[in-house]
Amino acid sequence: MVDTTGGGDHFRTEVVWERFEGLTRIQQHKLIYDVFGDEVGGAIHALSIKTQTPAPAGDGR
Amino acid sequence: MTNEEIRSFIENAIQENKVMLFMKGTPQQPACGFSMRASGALNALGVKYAALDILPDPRIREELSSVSGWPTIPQLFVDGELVGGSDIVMEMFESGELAETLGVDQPDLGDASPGEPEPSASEQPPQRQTGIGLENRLS
Repeated sequence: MVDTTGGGDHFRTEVVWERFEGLTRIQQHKLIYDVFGDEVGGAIHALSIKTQTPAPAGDGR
Repeated sequence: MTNEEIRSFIENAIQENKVMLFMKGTPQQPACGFSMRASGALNALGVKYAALDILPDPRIREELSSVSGWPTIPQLFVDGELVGGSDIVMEMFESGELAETLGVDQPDLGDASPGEPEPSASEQPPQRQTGIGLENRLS
């Protein structure tokens, strides 16, 4: 998790999680948003997400 | 305008526009870097899309997120389905998947950065064909 502006409200995160297996990117990102709950869009203005499964098949789709 | 009216306006916009982008600002004047990247990608692909500025009324964003289950802006919908926010849109743009989804050819990216659309790139402002004008209805 990287604070991209130092202001505590813009973050970038890269998550490798086996739970992403078989999910669309939308579903993967929603899982991450769920972790933060209402904070995303609230206290967290921007959360840049990159998701990956431990062993991505092909291009990870 | 009631919250219900805003919500149904948003739902209609999603259903009626094949490519619908909710963003901060406009394609001509994006008000946020993430929105700029998403609209820039669409501009680079040369597709027609409808764009709605969510900034004029905070309830637009609240209702949109409630409809989509997606907390951040921008949000791109294609054929009534949420495609993603700026990260997913950019990933798909770079992989060529977005062009595929939209049924257009992947442009030769070269030096062109989708984050910085050139005003001359499109002959017609993409926003013009939409005529949503939610701003007006809300005022």
